[in-house]
This record gives sequence, C-alpha cells and structure tokens, in this order.
Amino acid sequence: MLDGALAAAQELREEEAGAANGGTGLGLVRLLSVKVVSALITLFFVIVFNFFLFRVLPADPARNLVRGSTLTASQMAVINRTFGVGLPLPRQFWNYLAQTFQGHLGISFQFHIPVASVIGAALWPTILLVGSSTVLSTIIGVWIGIRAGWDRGSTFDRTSTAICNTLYAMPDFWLGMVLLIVFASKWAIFPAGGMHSFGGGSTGFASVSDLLWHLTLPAVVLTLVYLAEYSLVMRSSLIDELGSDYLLTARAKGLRDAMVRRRHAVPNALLPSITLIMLNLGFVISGAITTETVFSWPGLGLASYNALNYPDYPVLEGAFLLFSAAVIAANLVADLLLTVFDPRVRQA
Amino acid sequence: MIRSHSTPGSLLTRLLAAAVLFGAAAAPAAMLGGQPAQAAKVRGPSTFVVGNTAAVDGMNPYVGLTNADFEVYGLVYDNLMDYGQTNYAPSPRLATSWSVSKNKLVWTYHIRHGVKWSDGVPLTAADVAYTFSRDTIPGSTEESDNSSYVANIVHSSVKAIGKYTVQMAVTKPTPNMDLLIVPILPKHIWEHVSEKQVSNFPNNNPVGSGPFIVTNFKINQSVTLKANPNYWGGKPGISKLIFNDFTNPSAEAIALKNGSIDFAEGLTASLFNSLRGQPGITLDNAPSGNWDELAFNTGAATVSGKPIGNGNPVLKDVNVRRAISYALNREQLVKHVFLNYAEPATSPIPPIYPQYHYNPPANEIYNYDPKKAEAMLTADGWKMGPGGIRVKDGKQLKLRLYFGSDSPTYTQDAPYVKSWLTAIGIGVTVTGMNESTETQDIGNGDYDMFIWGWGVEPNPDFQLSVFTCGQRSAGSPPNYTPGWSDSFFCDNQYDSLYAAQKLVGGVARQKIVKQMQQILYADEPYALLYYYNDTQAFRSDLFTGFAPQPDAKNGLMLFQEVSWWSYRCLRPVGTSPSLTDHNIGCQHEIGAPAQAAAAASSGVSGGMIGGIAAAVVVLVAGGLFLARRRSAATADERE
Repeated sequence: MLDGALAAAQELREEEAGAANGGTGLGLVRLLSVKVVSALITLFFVIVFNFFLFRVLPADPARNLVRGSTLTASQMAVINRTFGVGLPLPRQFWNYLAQTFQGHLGISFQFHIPVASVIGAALWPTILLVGSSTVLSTIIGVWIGIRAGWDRGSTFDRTSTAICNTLYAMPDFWLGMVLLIVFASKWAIFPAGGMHSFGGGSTGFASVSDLLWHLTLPAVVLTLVYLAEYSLVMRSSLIDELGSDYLLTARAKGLRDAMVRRRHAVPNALLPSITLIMLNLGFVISGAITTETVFSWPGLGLASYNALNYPDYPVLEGAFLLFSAAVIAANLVADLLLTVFDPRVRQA
Repeated sequence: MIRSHSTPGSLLTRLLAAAVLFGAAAAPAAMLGGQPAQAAKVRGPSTFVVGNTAAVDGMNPYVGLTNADFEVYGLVYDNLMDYGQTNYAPSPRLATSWSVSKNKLVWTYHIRHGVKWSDGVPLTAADVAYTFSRDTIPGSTEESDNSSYVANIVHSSVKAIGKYTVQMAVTKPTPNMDLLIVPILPKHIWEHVSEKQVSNFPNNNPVGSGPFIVTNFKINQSVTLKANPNYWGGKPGISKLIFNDFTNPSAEAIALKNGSIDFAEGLTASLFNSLRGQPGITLDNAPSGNWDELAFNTGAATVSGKPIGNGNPVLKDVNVRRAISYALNREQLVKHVFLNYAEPATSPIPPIYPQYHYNPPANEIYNYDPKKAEAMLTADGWKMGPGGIRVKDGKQLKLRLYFGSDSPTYTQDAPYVKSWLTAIGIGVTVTGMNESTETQDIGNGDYDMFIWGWGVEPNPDFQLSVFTCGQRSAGSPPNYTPGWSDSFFCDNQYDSLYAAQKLVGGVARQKIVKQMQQILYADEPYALLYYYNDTQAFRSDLFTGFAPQPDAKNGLMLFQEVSWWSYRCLRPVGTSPSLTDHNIGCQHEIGAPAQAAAAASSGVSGGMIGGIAAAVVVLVAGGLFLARRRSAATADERE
C-alpha cells in the first residue's frame, strides 16, 4: 500500500525532474545545504542551552545524593570534586563543551559509569519497542485513514473515527495500566513488566519468543495510541483531495475506483502523513516515558525517568541531547523528503 | 520451522510462514504465564526473584546509595560482624571473636580460618587490614562512605598480625568497634584500583567472600546472583537470586500474584491490601526503622551561631511547637494515609529498637487535643483575631509548610496538617516542591515547617547526631552548605550527652540515648508523625526458610535493617536447610513449609489462549494485507 504510493510519488518526481532539468539542480543543492547548516546551528544551540538548563537547577546535586547517609562537610567536598560540580561556572562550561564535542557525555551520578554506556544500554530496547509500534501504527493507521476517508460517512468511517478519537484522547499510561490489569493480572497471559523472563538462560528461538511475549503489551499500547493520530490525519487529508479535478479526470479515463485512489488520490494526500511520521520518528528514541515506566521496559524513557528521580543530571543531560539531536535529524530528513516528494517545495 | 519452497514471487506463502513463525514464537512463552507454579518451574525451582522499586546502582560498595545496593553488597561481601537477627547485638561473621585492650584504645579481631574469595584465593588478615587502611584514608571516598564505622580508627595503626589476626587503634574509646558493618574487600583486586579511580570503578564482576556471587548486572533492569558453592557457612538453599527493578509498584504486585517474582518490596498500602487472600502469598506487615515528622525551624543559624534565613521567630517558642504537636491527629494519618500500616510516633529512635527507644510517660504524650493546643496558645499570649487567625502584639500567627511533592505520602499528609493548624487559629501556606529546592531552602533557614522523614539504623548514633549544634549549616550566603540538622536544634546538655554515649556501651549507653530523646521530646524540634511499616509480600507456597529480623512473625523478611539473615536460609518449599554454620541464623527461621500449590492445571491454560490469540491476530492481519496486495496486483495486471 505504502510502497505503491511511494512508487507513484517517485514517478511524479522523475517527471518533474525531467521537465525542469538544469536550473533547479543547483537550487536543490543550495536548498539542501541551507537546511543541513541550519540543523547544525540548532543542534549547537541545544547543546549550549542544555548546559545552562541543568545549572539553574538547585545548587547542590551532591547534597541530594547523600541525604540519609552520614557525611561531613569535608566529605561532601570529595563528592563535589569527583563530579566536578564544585568548579566555577565558566570552567564547567568549557569542560562541558570540550567533552561533548569529543563525544564524552560525562559520568553518571547514579551508576558511576560513562553516560554513553547508560544511554547505549537503553537504546536497543527503545528502538525495538517504539520502532516496532511506530511501524505497526503507521501501516495500520494510514490504511484505516485511507479506507475511512475514501468512503466518508460509511459505517467503517464512522466506527473507525469514533474509535480513533477515543484512542487519541487516551493517556498511554492509563491504557497501559488497564491492559496490565486485564492481561497480566486477571487472565495472566502476558508478563507484568520487564523485557526477559528469568530462566535457565534461554537462548535462540526461546529467548526471541520470550522477548516478543514481553514486547506485546507495551507495543500494543503504543501502537493503539499512535495509530489514531496517523489515521485521523490521513483521513482528513484524503477527504481534502476528494473533490479535486484530477480525480474526475482519472475517473473519466476509465480507471477503477481503487486505482484512482491508489495512484492519484493517496500520493497527494500522503504528504501531511509523511511529515507527521518523520516528526514522530524523531521522538522514537526519546521513547515513551510513561509506557516504558508502566511496563518497566528498560529503554531510554525509563532511563530518563529514573535519572530524573535520582536525580542523575549527567544522564538527563545526555538523554536530552540525544533526544534533541534525533528530533532535529528527523526534521531535516522530513524537509529533505518533502523536497523529493513534493515538487512545489523545490520550486518555492 | 516452515521453509518456503514457493517461488520468490509468492508473497502469500512467505507471509503465512512469517505469521506462523511469529505466532509459534509468542505462543510457548505466553503459555508460561498461566500458572504461578508453572512460571516458577520454568525459571527453576530454586531461583528466587525479588522485586524491588529502588533500582540497583552498581556493584561498587564505595559508591552505592540505594537500599537495593546495600542488599546486594551484604550478599557479595562479608562484614566482620552482623547485627544479630534477634536483638541487633553483635553476631560474628568473618571475625570469629574480638577483644579490646584495657585502656579501650586497641582492638584485636580474629578472622575466620579457611575462607576463600570467590576466585579461589584464600582470605586472610591481610585483606581485612587492607580494607580498613583503605577505608580510613583521610578525606577519601572510601572514608566518607564508611565514616559511621571507621571515623575513630587511626589510619596508620591498622595492621595484620600473622595470618588470621588484625589489630587497630582508635583515637578514643569506641564501643561500636564490635559492630563493624564494613564490606571486607579482596586486596589482590582492589590494590589495582587507585583512590582516584574508585568512584568510577564499576566493579562489574565483584570478587567477594559472601554467600552469593554476581553473574549479571543490567542497569535499570536486574542483578542476577548465584549461590557461592564454597561459602564458609554452607551453600545457600537457593541456587539463584535475582533482584528485578520495577518502576511501577502495581506491576510488581501483579508479578508477585502471577508468580513471576517471589518477593515484593516497596508496596503501597493499597497494593498490599490487594494481595490479601491471594493463594500462595503471605503478607508481612513489618515494623521498620522509618518515620516521618513535621519539623520546625527552631532558629536557623550557622555552626558558629550566626542567625540565618527568614524563618518565623514564633517557632523559637517551645510552647507554640508543643501546641502544634497537640493539634496533630496522628491516628488519622495512620488510618487514612497508611491504611493502618503504621503507628503514631513519639521519639526518634523507633520502637523496633526497644533497648534505645524512649517511650514517654502517658501523660506527656502529645495526644490529639485541639482544646489543649488552643489553651496553650491563648496562655502564650496568642489571642484569636479576625479571620480565625491568632494575633499577638499585632502580628498574625501565620506559618509556611513545605513538603517534597514527589512523595505521595507527604502530599497526602500536608492538607491534614494544614486543616488541624487552621482549626486552632494558625494560618498555614502549603507549598509542595522538589527535594533539591527544599534541601537548599532548609539549609539557608528559609522555611518555617516541613514534612519529611528518616530511616533509622540499629546504631542510633547518626540519628542522634542530626540534632547536635555541629550539624547546623556552614559556609556563607547566598547558599549555605547544609549540615544534617534541619530543625537547627542546639542544646549544650544534649551535645554533651551525645559525646558521652559514644564512649560507653551496653545499658549505660541505652540510658544516655533515652535521656537524649527525652530532651528532644520536651523541646519538640520535630513533631514525629508516625512510624510506618515496611509492607512486604512473598510466595510462601514456593519458598520457605525466611529468618525475620527481629525474630518475630512480623519481622522484616528481606531488606532488614543493615542485615541479610533470610538470604542464607531461604530454600524451596519441601527441601531441608543446607547451611551448616549455626551462626547463620537459620535455626530462627519461621513459616512451616506451606502446602505446595497443587495448581495442576488441566486443559488449555490462559497462557496458551494468549499465544494462540497472538498467532491468530498475526495470521488475520497478514491475510488481510495479502488480500489487499493480491487484489491490487490482479487489478494492475488487468489495467
């Protein structure tokens, strides 16, 4: 379905490129480089902002770490020295910039290992969970949106729109708790949390199936919550196209209804969805803080939740940086893709 | 599984295969979830899984801070002694005996013979001496981490005499030297970790001498340990022990109910109630060392006595503090916030340490009595004024109340406290804030009252130190360095008693400690609210052998007060104790072996239904998708 649309868009693009050969080539390169440079500038500002954001927090992180254990002022000084929080601000800023550009994100207050390792360990679970639900929700959501929009007013449309509106308004942690109570507690057919069972070190096939078993509930929650948005956007943009003259033309050529929809209406209506999908992809790695927390899924969302509770400022700082970078990158890709898919953007 | 022999073009076949594969993959795992007994069988009958709500930070005993960290350290490493299971008295562990010189300044410890590190190297006095020299390097991370035990030890005096004897000197008589809860580390490993490296040393594969050995640590997920087969006290009764982090306590309760974990810690009162009557689960409503208080700014000042902050001077008046304490309906908090899993509190060393707990005479207890509170305020010159707020010398009696908004209990306590104080004519402004801001405001003396809490160890020294003059703030404006004192209580008699209790032991010390609490109770820098219980729940149908501390049916089963008795005695129901050493405490275990759950499930389990449902969903989705593709494909061909 989707790849059909993409193929159609590809054809369009090629036609367009053929027609406007020459002049736009250089313009395109300029356009692209402007976008890339502005993305880099944004990223730099994020890095600077990140530093000050965490320094306006209450003055003494070390103090927070040790409430409940016996420490004298001189021992506090040791902790401050260890974490480098006692240094003058400009010095801290310089250290921070130098380290960040060398790829060092500092040492976690909580785990006493490099922040990169903390984040690295949480990256794969998040990509697995949020990635798989994004793919599922995109496919299902766009499909529902097309069906509903094309047959506007049909039973399918009314039912699916009602369901999607409900899902769209539903907080994901609440849905997660409901699924937990029903499927993990009442019927006890899915686990209550985590990513693996504790077994005699299951391997290969068994461990994959165990992982899928743990993945099911959180992935279903995220898929349901995300797909509503995709479906509603797709539906409304398809409805916008319904009255267009080119559809009349297509029908007049004698094309089947499904063909008109797939070849002509959908490619045009897909543009807002592509933007939305790309933007949401940027948020894939920031994970789903609430869903990961409800299901104790050890991804980046849960890692940042724990870091916030601790509070583990270096991990939070690193996570924020990564999240911002991902959003900026996804925006850039969305911009670039639109340039490819939508000739109007190029000519503007 | 199914190998597709079809042509590459046959998408249907491939999709079907994938769907079957996914379904088949999910199904067997789903089946495991059906019955607790089955879940336990799958992870092995002697694998014990503990659910904990505070994550484990790491394996380096010098840097960990959470309860779960200390739980792991005490299993991986041995201390010289333990707090006794029955009465918190010194109980031998790595040290079999010890003695002190006549002048009370030199201590000698005899180390257990034949103990081996988990890597096979023998443990000797050299390791013990190494640990204590390292822990006494002035100003080091090591020292700060162990300061409540090693503060008086003379660094240069620590030495091994022969293979199994260690001697160290102290700067002044220190009775606590018979209870050193300091993990003994292997010299041959730690001598390669410099002082500079220590705070960032992950120690991922710790070599210890304790009853368990860490095999796997995943941050924000779990710690897996296996039984140490060569443990000097005998091999533990469980072969594998797992600490599983839960960020959602409800999920933890569900996991216990399902049997995917065997022990749940950190349950809220309502979750605890939800587990009542569940088959195979035993609830333990265990009194703990924890309490919360309403603290007063009794006159914020620095260590040198310089007044700081903007606290309302009204609270320097002991009569106002006492009146407020009489206005607090502690029973209501116990009932509504803790669903009765708590009891009204009086003095700071809690009743679980009866030898140190001061129990005020009945007629002195601040029982809820708003009339008395009002009378005290009136007698103190505070006349009821306009708007129901008392006035004295033209000033209204208005106070600020802070609390950490992260805490669900403080959030519930605060409105109650406000309403009780309003009722006796005190205007209260309540502000929830994060703990960092709160710590800073308190350190600067910019507060009137706050709700917070402490957890008290068996050794009362630290908790008592919180009320000494030396724990007031230090440094200079704008941000002072807070000490541990957050009421700024300062009393010379109290301070001299604090110094005196360090120098004596036994009954003499108990007497002083009670006397100190008597002073605190009369002066009321803190109005203690409640001692709250640790609500623990566990699968008594699968495991037995818990050794509670104190030795009572409602003692703490795990997460004991700096003790680890149960882990060494735990075993699957139906097996007999395997430990050989009588010092271990297994003779005190409770819980007659419960009837193993004869949950023989017949027919199709819920889990199997789940698996099949998953497979069907995938198949149907695949089929639908395929149908679309096929219709599109044929349509393409036609057109």
